[in-house]
Amino acid sequence: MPTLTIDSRQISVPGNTKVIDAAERLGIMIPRFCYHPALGAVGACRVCAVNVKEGPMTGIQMSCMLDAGDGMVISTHDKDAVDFRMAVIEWLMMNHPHDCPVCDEGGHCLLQDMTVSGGHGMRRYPGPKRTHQDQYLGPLVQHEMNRCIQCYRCVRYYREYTGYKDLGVLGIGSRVYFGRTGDGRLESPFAGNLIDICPTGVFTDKPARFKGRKWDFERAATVCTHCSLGCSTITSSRYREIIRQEAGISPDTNDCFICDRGRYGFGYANLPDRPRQYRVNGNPCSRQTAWAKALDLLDTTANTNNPSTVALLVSARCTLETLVTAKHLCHRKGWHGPVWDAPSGNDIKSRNALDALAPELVATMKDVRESDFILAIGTDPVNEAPVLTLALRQAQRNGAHITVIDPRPVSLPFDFEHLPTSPEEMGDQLAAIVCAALGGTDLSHLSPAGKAFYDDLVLRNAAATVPDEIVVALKKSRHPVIVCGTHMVNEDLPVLAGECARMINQPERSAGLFYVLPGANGFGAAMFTETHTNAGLLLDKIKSNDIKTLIAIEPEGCAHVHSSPAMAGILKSLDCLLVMDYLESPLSRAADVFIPTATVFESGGIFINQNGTGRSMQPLYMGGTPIFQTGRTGPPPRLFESDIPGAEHVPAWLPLADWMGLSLSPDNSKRRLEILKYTIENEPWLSALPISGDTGETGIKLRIPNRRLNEFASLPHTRNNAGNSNSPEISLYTVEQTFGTELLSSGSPALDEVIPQIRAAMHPADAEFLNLADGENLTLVLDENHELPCNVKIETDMAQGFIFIPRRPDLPWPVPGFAPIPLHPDQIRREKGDLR
Amino acid sequence: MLPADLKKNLQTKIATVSHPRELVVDVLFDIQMHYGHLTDEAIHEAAELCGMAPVEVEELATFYTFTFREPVGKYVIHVCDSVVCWMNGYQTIREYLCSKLNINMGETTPDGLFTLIPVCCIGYCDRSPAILVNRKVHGSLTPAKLDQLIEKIKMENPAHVE
Amino acid sequence: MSNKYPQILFQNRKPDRIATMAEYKESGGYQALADALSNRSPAQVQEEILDAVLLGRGGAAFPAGRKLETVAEDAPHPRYVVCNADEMEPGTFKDRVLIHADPHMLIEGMILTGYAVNADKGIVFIRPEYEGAAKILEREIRFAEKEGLLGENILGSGYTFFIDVHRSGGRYICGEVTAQLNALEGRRPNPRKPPPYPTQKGLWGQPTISHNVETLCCFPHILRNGARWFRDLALTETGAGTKIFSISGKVNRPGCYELPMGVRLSEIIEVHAGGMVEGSTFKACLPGGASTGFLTPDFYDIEMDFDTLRKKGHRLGTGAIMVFDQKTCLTAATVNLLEFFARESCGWCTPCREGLPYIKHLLTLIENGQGSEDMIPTIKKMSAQLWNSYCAFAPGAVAPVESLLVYFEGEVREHIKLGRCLLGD
Ligand SMILES: Cc1cc2nc3c(=O)[nH]c(=O)nc-3n(C[C@H](O)[C@H](O)[C@H](O)COP(=O)(O)O)c2cc1C
Ligand code: SF4
Ligand code: FES
Repeated sequence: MPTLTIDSRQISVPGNTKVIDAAERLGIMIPRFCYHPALGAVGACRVCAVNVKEGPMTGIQMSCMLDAGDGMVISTHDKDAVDFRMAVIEWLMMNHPHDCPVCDEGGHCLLQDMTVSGGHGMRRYPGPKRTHQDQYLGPLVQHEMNRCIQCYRCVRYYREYTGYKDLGVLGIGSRVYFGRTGDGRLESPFAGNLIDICPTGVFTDKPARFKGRKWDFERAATVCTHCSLGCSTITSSRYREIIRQEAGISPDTNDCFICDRGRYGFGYANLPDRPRQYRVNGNPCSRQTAWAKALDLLDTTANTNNPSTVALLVSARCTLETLVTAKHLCHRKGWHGPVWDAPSGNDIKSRNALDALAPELVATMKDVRESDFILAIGTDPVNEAPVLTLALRQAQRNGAHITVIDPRPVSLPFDFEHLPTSPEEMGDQLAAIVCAALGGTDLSHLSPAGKAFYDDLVLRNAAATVPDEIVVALKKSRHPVIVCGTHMVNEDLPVLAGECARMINQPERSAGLFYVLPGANGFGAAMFTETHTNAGLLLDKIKSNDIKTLIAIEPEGCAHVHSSPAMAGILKSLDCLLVMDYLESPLSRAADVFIPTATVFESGGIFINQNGTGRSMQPLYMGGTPIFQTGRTGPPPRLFESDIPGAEHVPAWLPLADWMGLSLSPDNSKRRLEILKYTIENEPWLSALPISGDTGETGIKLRIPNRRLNEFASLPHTRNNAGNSNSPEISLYTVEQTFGTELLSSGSPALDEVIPQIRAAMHPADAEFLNLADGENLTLVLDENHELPCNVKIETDMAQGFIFIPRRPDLPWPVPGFAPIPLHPDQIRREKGDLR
Repeated sequence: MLPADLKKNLQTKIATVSHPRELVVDVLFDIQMHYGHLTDEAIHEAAELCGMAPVEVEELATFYTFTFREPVGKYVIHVCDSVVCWMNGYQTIREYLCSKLNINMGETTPDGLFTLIPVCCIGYCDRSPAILVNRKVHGSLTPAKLDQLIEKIKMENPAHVE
Repeated sequence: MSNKYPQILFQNRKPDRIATMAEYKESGGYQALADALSNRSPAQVQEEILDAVLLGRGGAAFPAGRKLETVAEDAPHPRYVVCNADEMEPGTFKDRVLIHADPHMLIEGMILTGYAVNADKGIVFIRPEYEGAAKILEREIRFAEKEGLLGENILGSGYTFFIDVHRSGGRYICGEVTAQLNALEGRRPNPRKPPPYPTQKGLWGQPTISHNVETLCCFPHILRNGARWFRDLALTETGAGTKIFSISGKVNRPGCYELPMGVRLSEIIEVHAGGMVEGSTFKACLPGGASTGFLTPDFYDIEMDFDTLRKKGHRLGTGAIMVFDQKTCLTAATVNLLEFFARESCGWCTPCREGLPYIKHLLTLIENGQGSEDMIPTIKKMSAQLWNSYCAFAPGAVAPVESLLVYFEGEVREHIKLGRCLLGD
């Protein structure tokens, strides 16, 4: 721990700390442009100059490049240093257009801050300014090259940090240009971070252009709800409209960056036609009317039928408060559920995953970044949990060996090993790798259950062969992490993955386990929904008239199967349908009573991410119909009322609490704390969460109530044999995509343009068998009532026997929960109408 | 599109080295020779040959002196404007060339034969003032010598004579 | 040619053609290699070079022997030797002349350097303007290979070393060692800041020794004749060896001359370069390329040696002497030099990228008679600040500016006062 003196104050810092960071620990913020904690130091901008009074090299030195050394004496406000920094800023401003008044960066611009604080206030340089032409970079990021100060952050971020390759440094000298080979959308789904990382206004948020300055906004630290990672975000709103989101900083999770789905996915909350009104039988009404009608209906049901005919449906987009309240309401009333409305049987797989998630194995994103061997199984990171890709990339940059076992054409922006494997065989591959790596290791410390598990593994692995490098890399690794998805896997795979992680977790090798769960609150949903039922069974019960009343709270999977005649039939057999949501869906349109709920931006709430970290957010704003800025002069149109128009929504837990008879304060903010308290107090394992609801920057790690603690599970010996290789059938799967499949963000207009057309990915051998060419249009006949037009995309790097199409919420999918459909070749029709 | 034999040649050459990208400048020069300058297509072709992303190639093509991203004449005349040539008559040479070819520095004659570009010291200070014509040096220049040089090129390229 | 001094590097130089391999061998060429391979360990080779006080001829004057020592014995393979034949410093053309005179001397020098650090491959990084030299080297490398002097199992010694020629795309910064490594890897030639040093992690992350052409050419001679002999070649106590001076500007016989280290400037100009051209008197010279400071008539008799010049606050650089006469405006000359540097700045760090055009603009205004007095302190201060750039490019670039304002401040102020240039065009 070197001890050094900075501006006459002493500080001890860990070895390898740069002087710039050491100063920051003292609260001394040395100016910087090129230095960024996530990108490291390159010493290009030269603005972090300090004067080294004592040390191996005295004089002006760049503090970002200088390791803090014992006995160093450093001055940051020495005249030489101050003068030099001022000169650097003057140089940077030579060609700057000084267009702050029309620049969206204005007000949160590092260059502005440094220019003002650095003391360079007068333009002296008498020469002309060089100018550049801007490029079109797509709908999300705006380019304004003249503002560039050549700190190289953008390209270092884009190329080195994320591994994408379509942004570069062109030209030389004072004409260097940061752009692409030509106009065109930035290919990286993480391109939006350029906006945050650029210290001036070269890259700005395009959809948010001209909509406000930082000080105009209501801002709050938020948590991204577009996948299970729970990245930190910062959300800004103005005039009842969310304007923009930035990445928050959370070392355990997203580090400093988010994906574009997370950044631009908030649009659903702004939609003018978002359901904002109470409705009874489809007709708008007052809150009182709807409330009374709901109570009335529920009373009737409970009285005339038996309470077990009432079912409650929830989803992974519900807040923890809603889930817990729903659970207790069901228990108290004897209702059925809550049932998790999860697509593709993800509920069971998630529960299995949580069962296997032993506390000593839980890996965070930070652990992934620092890991030296990663086996990702049944997951497609860019599409399912985008920022996980960045974590994998950092591991890869540090030399980690990365393997992905998945049937899909997984693509990642760096070198990795992909074993395209059918879901049935993924477990065998995993078993084979683990067995081979453990071969020769002393396993005598294992319990009898552990030994039995190992024997099972050996049995299982007989079918698979795996590349040697993977085994060698695993053998060598000290911090391997197994990443396991829940979507593309069989029910037993999460358990197998978890137990394999436990197997390879040995004294000299600390293994991690990282699940990718469905939805933002898949963890919470798995914990608080009824285990022996699911959405499919619930629909059966409705069909068989065992359930007569359905309360759907922010549903997910079921909301999509509405349009089928089968679903219509199901809905018809209900006596009463109550829907609470902030999204419109055919389910909500069919509701007898509809209650508009608040989005997380309006209600706040707690979400538990995939590794069991509870993260809360405060409400950002009250919501209400946005006052869209017209751009015309004059004040926005207004009505003088005491309420905010369009802000009648309530948090979903509120009606539930009411039905349960909880007495909550009428005051919004008090009520919020009360329900939090209720939530935490009624679920002992949540007790680590603060009653105040403030989980801080990184969240609170929850101790998962592990149901099986130190015992290995026994594996089911039988494998699902869905894929019969002799049958001509092809399995049609819906899969997640970065853009367009996740329910909330797919409703965000900003992302419309980046949602790719629906293409059916298939293996060349299948395409050949079906006589289809890449790019050909075709129609998939899903059943007698459903057809799906799409386009062939031949992918060499995927498993045979599958067609993958994006699981878009608007797909006319005939089966509940997007379960895969086996397709006979007859069901695959060329555009021209001729059968194959 | 690159002619098959050129592409083959380059591929063979690339196959002999351990890191294909180390040959990128050579590849660019060869492709430039074919197209006359580096077209957008050329950048993509070079990228593919060297296993690089197009923007990585663009980063180099826009950096170096001898890679042309814009069309140039059949003969590129680089006029050294660094200090020794400057002291020994660069100005005269430049003005003479400009008026003889009737173009400014940075321009190409309408017949597409000549392009004039200033260049940094070319290492022939002992024979200043010096120029390069298609990377071949001509030193100790006088207007008379320039006349000879230009006329010779024009003779060799009758199709280009107006 | 009136040169009474021993010709070492130029011993086979012909006025009209390249020395053949046979001629090179005849003059003792490849003896050092044969001897080293059979009688000396790499460590002994290193020691001899260190002992010879061979200072790098590429401009930085770093002791070659010390550089060799920094390649650890157990460093990984492949290891590389890079020959820096970029030579883009205005005024410098000695490396071209050396290659054209006696290419095998360079080849032998590279092999010996390779042997000294047990390297596997040599690469000549050559500027595109020197296509002729590149072709010569490629051809002669093949001849050497044919004779077993290069390639697999050299002279049956078990030592294997190959040499490749790599053409640059043409930029001055490519001469800077670390930028050159990036260029060789097909990346943008921005410099890289050590650590790690290239001798630990250089080309493709492997140990790499970079030397200038002239430095490498000294290797065979040192090893054949001994360190002591080499040191004694110099006229000064601190100097060692000979130096190829490339002289240009207002002298009668511009060209390259091999002279002992420490020869006087006056002698170089008057005796070897044939004196000033008719009607010209010596006003100043740049002693070692564009990135050194002006030497005024006060220094006319100075001993041209790294150490002597350093002690006087100057640099010998590459030994490229550019002579200016009384009719040349040094303000304009400096503007020209700045134009070069501003054009060639790689654009990586702020002071160099922006500061050089800034200073150039101010000095241009002054030269055009549009300057003001306050510009002079600004230029002085900024030039000093440019020393805090990322690499050695910018400090080199301001060397002429700083010396202009030390020795010729009066001339500069004259421009401001008169509102025009007295000399020049
Ligand atoms: C901007 C810049 C350009 C340089 N150009 C050259 C060059 O063209 N040739 C050269 O040999 N050294 C050049 N050098 C010096 C090299 O960085 C390095 O010191 C030298 O090649 C090492 O070889 P030596 O030890 O044999 O001199 C340059 C340095 C800088 C900073
Ligand atoms: S001083 Fe800076 S901009 Fe100039 S060449 Fe060096 S690194 Fe590049
Ligand atoms: S922050 Fe240190 S040089 Fe840019």
